[in-house]
Amino acid sequence: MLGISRSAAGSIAWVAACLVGCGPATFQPNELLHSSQGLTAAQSEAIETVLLEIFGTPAEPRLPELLHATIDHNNLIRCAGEVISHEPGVTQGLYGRHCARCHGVTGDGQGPTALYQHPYPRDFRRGVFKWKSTYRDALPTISDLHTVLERGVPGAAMPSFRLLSTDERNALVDYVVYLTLRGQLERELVLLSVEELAEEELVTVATAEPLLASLSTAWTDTDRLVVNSSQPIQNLVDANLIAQGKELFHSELTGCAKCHGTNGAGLTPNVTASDRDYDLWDTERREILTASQTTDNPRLIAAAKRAFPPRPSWGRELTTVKRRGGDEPETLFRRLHQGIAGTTMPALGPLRPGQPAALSDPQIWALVAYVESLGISDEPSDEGSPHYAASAQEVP
Amino acid sequence: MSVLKKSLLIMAGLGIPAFFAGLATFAEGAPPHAGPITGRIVLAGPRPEPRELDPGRDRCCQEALPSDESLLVSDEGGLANVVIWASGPPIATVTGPPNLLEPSVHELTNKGCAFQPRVTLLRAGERLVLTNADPTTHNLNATFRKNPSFNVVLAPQARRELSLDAAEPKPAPVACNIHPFMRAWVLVRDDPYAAVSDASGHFELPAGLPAGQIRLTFWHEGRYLAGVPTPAGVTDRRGRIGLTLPLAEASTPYELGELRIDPRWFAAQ
Ligand code: HEC
Ligand code: HEC
Repeated sequence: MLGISRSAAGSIAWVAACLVGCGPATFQPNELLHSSQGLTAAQSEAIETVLLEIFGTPAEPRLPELLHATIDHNNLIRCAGEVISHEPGVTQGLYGRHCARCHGVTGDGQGPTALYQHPYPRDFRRGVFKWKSTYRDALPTISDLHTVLERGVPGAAMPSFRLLSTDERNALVDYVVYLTLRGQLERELVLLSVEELAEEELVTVATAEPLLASLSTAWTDTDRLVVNSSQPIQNLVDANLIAQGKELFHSELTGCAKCHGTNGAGLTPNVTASDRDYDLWDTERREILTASQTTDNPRLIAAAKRAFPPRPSWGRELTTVKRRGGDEPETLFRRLHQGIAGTTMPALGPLRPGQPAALSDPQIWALVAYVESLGISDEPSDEGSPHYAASAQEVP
Repeated sequence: MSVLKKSLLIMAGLGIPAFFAGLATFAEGAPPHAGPITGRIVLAGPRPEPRELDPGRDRCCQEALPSDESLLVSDEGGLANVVIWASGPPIATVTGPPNLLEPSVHELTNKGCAFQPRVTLLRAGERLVLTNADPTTHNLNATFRKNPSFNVVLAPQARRELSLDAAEPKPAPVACNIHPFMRAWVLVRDDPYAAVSDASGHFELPAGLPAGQIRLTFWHEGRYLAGVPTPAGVTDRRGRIGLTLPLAEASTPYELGELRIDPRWFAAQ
């Protein structure tokens, strides 16, 4: 049923693909996941078919009814496909132009320039984001995604897109949500296939719909899950407050100094095996690569060969590097309150409002005051596309 | 324990509002039971040398000298911490000996810079209590699939209590990132039919499963135990075998005997 439009789209897609490395611009299956879960070719194909039916292609995105409340279809069209300009000031193919070289056509974080970045560009498919205002296990709000596009991630390769119009950023945020939902659904379908269905029982659009419904609800629910960071009465430059924060930082109540070093000066990373640790994405990659060493599954062996090498992450020094998640006291408060999702940095606050916590809010504010007193924060750079250069990278 | 209480717990496991659901049907009589399932997991080859752990910078960890527990093999070859669980036809509707249905609280503690126990089994709705008996800070980073994941700081003497409400398809990893060599696993199931092999490799799934077809999964430290020969066939890629359980007294186990694992399985770790 999609036959005709797909072959027509195919040639456009191919042109678009050449912007991000030549090859047909199709959404790529999460081969590492499919193969490590031992999916059969038929199971993978069924999943691909369902995803195509629901989400379309990079050149011709589709938006299921279910997502109309979350995503504007016109925004997808502006971001999808090749870069063209019909009328002055309106550019199409925004994602291919500004993002795909790093985040990949599929949003897998494996664009042509990604391999050399540390951290790697975000793999949206997992549905986990670091720089956000919500409780740790919740998705970001739409406004969090806007903030990331405006600010970029200083100190990582993610540039600021403040030079784009608000309209364009709106469209790109919708496209990020679209790619994320597609990736989240793919993961659910893979795991459903192996955990709950018999091998010969293949997924269909009907199987996928309830999963998609609950995934999309989680996106509309986020405003409810924003961490309240109302400012304390105290002045954050108050010497007593900073001293209290410093004490907490070095105490066994928080463990901050164990990851960030005395006075936040950092530890020499990865000197000993005990320091080597990984974020969520690289932990999974590492586990799959380990499993691939003892497997006789040719598909997994092939996928492992093409996988990015997992890179350790660690608690950086806090004295000179830029705050990736922003410098405002409120956002810093939330980062300490909930930790940083997807990373090893743990939460001090409760899992949900009113539940028990490791530290009280005033204690967390004292830590904010101390951390702010350490930080030399530069203004975020104005590297709006297309003029940004390859950005700063930290390589171990 | 009263029939009423039993059914409440079972309904809770099914995720059905416990208070009103199907008490009458439940009281009509339980389906026929199978006995316990027993066996022993054995490494069919030389016992591997335990690896040394780097205990990091914390004095108390250096003193505690935690050892690598990812491959615990007894002198007689028994493999500890293999997790075995049953699945298949409607296990959650099954009655069992009353003591199995009593909800309990499970403590996962940090002691000597190691998690204790290595593997925690609990049923959906039960409580997991996190404690820290060490003089150093730990954090507890748990990545679940059906329950919300969390990563919390745990100061010395601290105690956090969480309820895990959803059954998981397999054990979830627990890490401490301040001491990345630490590792534990938590398996949440809807029913009590799961077990962990002990230091000598023995395991026993409790009596009370329905007689008839069920599936058993064998899993160890993040991996399904594939290709293990058993009297009911070789485990598949996802560590599973199918079993037909006979009707039996609780005192008559279904014996799987010695399940021998090729040591090459662990070679690349
Ligand atoms: C030069 C490479 C590069 C480009 C171009 C780029 N990104 Fe990123 N992006 C990154 C990296 C690297 C990260 C990971 C930062 C981190 O882990 O802190 C990231 C992270 C993100 C995140 C996740 C933030 C979070 O809270 O976890 C979003 C959303 C995102 N990028 C969207 C975009 C969009 C949309 C575009 C195009 C308009 C884009 N990026 C262009 C490199 C890039
Ligand atoms: C288990 C190790 C660990 C502990 C404990 C820890 N952190 Fe972190 N922290 C990290 C890691 C890893 C990152 C980097 C996350 C990233 O950018 O991917 C980080 C990042 C940060 C940042 C930078 C955020 C930004 O926007 O760039 C701050 C500030 C910070 N931590 C403060 C603290 C404080 C204060 C404590 C104690 C309450 C603490 N950390 C405890 C591991 C840790």
